Amino acid sequence: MPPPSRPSGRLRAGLTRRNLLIAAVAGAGLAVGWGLWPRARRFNWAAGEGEALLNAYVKIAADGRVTVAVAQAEMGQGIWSALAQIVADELGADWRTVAVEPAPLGPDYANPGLALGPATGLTEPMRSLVLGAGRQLGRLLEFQITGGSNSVRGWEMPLRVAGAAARVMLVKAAARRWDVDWTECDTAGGFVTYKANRLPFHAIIGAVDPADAPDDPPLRTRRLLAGEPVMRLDVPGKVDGSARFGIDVRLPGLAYAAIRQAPAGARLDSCDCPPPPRGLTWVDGPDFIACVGDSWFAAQRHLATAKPRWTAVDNAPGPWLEAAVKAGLQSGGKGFAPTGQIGKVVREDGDVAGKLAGPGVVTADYSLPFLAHACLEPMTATARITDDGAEIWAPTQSASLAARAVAAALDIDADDVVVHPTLIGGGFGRKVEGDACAQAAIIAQRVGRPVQLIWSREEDFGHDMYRPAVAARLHGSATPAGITAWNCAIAVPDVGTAFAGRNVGSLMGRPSAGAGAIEGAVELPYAIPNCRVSHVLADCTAPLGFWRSVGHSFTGFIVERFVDELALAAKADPGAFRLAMLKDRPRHAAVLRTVLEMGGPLGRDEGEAGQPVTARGIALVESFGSIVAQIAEVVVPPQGRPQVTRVWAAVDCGRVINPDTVTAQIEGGIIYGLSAALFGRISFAQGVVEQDNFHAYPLITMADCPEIEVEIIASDADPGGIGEPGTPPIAPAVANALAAATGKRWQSLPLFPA
Amino acid sequence: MTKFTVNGNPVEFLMDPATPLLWALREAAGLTGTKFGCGAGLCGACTVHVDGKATRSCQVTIADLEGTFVTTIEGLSDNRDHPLQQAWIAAQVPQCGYCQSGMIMAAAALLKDKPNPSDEDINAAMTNICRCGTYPRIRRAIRMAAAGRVDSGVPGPEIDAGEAAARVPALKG
Repeated sequence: MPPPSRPSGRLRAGLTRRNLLIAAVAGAGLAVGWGLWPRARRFNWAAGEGEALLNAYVKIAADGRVTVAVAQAEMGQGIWSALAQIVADELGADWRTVAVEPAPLGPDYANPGLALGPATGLTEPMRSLVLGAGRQLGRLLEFQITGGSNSVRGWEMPLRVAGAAARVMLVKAAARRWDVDWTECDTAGGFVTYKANRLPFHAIIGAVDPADAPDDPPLRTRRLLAGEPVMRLDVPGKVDGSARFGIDVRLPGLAYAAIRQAPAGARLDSCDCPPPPRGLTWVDGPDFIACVGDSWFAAQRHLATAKPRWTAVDNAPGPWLEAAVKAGLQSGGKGFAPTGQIGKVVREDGDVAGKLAGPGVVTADYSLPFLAHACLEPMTATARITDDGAEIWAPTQSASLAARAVAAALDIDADDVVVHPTLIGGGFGRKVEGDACAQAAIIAQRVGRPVQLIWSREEDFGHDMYRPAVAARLHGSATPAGITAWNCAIAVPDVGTAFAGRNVGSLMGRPSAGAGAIEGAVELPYAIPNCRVSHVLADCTAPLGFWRSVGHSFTGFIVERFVDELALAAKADPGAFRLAMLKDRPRHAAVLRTVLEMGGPLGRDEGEAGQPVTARGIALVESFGSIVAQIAEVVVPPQGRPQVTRVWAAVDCGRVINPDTVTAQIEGGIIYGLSAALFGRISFAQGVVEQDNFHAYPLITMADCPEIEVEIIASDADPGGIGEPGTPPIAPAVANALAAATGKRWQSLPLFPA
Repeated sequence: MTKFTVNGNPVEFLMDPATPLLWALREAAGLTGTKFGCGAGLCGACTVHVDGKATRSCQVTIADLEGTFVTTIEGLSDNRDHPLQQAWIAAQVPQCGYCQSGMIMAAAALLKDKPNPSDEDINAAMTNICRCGTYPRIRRAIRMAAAGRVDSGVPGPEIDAGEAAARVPALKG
């Protein structure tokens, strides 16, 4: 892995991949070696001494090492390896020779998957038009971001093409040397092959002709590496302490900064800062004070001597926020009625009012709390002010937003900010935000030294961009053959607009009600003839952001818990009940059947009175293009807290690049969701977050961790996402199991509040 | 006094004696493998060995450590060849990786104490937080290492070009 301090410049828009390549390697016949050619003049992915830059994504070194430029951030989801694996597969490289470097900012590295969300549910040709437009827009804005579980979905085809193009160049060079037809040559294991002849890549790179770069290279029909559980490239450095995260960046003359920010519901008015001891300096900035010195610990300790005066803002976050969300489901002091409607209707099928007018209607009220991301690496950024701008090293999910945030903070052009993305010690949506980057840049500018800003854990909990609190009221009716009517209203703030307003400003409008805020509750997999879904826009003065699986993190619970409540009312087995509604959804049905084979039967086991009760519950959620079903087993003792002992998961995520990574992401997604389901809750009092460290925001540990079994369903379908889809089903699966075990309704998360 | 031994090297930290070991390691000794997570001894990301015992380095000052032997993840093995490191690679344990140094150090202390730990022993010793949820694989890796020597097939960082080329034909020696 490269050190995070690798320098990179910027690429101006307007260059195509092809003319970049020519700029990079024109004047072929460079017998002296690639390292002497000034290729980096216009192309911002630097080649080192002796390296051949074949295109914007692939370079090969004189010793045969293949390096892939990866535009997506590595935060544990294994994307550096998965994207390199896609390239290596087409290239025909030996996996043991493959390395990655984080790509710099530039149109070649813009996220091509940005339109996947908007394209969901569209049919051709609209789907392709929207995806194409999204790709163009991403390139135009040079928008680099990792989120929405779209990395493999967006990059699979562009990187296959890049790998194949590089393969054609190597093959043509070797074919010239052998004087044979290039179409009869192939590559495998890092060699170009022709019948019994073979040449290693490193022996050919000097003879590669840039004019050979094909616009439309032939793709492999049989995969060599893709689909194999190859070893991840980032793992060895993560077991010996050598992997460098954002917090591990070290620069000459580096100072460390500790920070205290205004509480969520306040502004910094003024601060009495006593004269600091030698070696420490105060810096104040927009709603923060920082202490800077040669030791972060000394700076953090001294920060306590500052006496800031905060001014409370109007409507500072407090317990009223959750109450206001719930109140959104009432009108005239009464809860929204079975035949009624409230908020903005985003789906209306059949005759809901007619079907829910009579007896036999089940009504349920669900509520979910604010949540923190609680990444183990706290927010951090390292900044250096340069003669012509700024450099920033950060564990960022979006180099583009980091550059914008720094540019805005320093009042310079975003083009003058060079971002060095590092490994991320947990992202989960929090680290798309550029707040710490902007602060680090301001502090570095003020002290005239490179500065590494590190938030304390207390600052990290107190200044998250939280998953919002949510409330829902659902009315429904069912027979054992399925749900006959469904009237669902979900009250939640508009997180997307909160995020966009903070990060991209003028591009976005005001908060509004709509289907996007309640993704996962609108397009249900189940056939329900009479169905109304509404979004009630809730006000929120707490800062909100994207939390792993975003809308699905709450709609998964609301929908799947209510499906179980309706199954119970219809006296149906929850598995058979769901399957009866999936007749037109063979992929969903296959996932559900698979998990039932793994972890069924559902419901409460027979047992003796006074003994612990064991029960299993199920949930099925499609999110980010993948379908995941889970069964959770709970053991409920006569006294004490129930335990989640086992979880079975079946996943259909289309074509798989690395099945072991898929399994790991499902395991991790389950555990992330389980912490939230069992304990997770952020609360506010007078504008201040009440949870300040892990003792107050408990997370699953080894002793609470269930056994997890994952099965991936073989599929040739287009890839689905995998970083997030493991999270949504676990809360409803556990709640459904608890309901089966106890007969209680388990309608509020967390299930076991502190 | 702030003289002790870190990874076999005698050191004296010219820092405030109240500085926690974590920050002395990260800022003065350049040993960034030991991570800051909470500053309160709750998460275990900063776990190192002090005289062989798993210790949360944010909770001990350098003044407390006079004359002790401290081992960090960087000093656990010479060439990434501790059985736990090999098992960790073989089981592909890490995700983001931030907690893993602390996890491996906690596990190494456990195995030194109990070479064949039960599930309950693992639960009792491994109280660190992994936000990515690698616990099932950590348990698997500890069992693999306890069961015998593991070779992940991934060479250590000390491998030279000639040896690498001998193992991987596509590389030039």
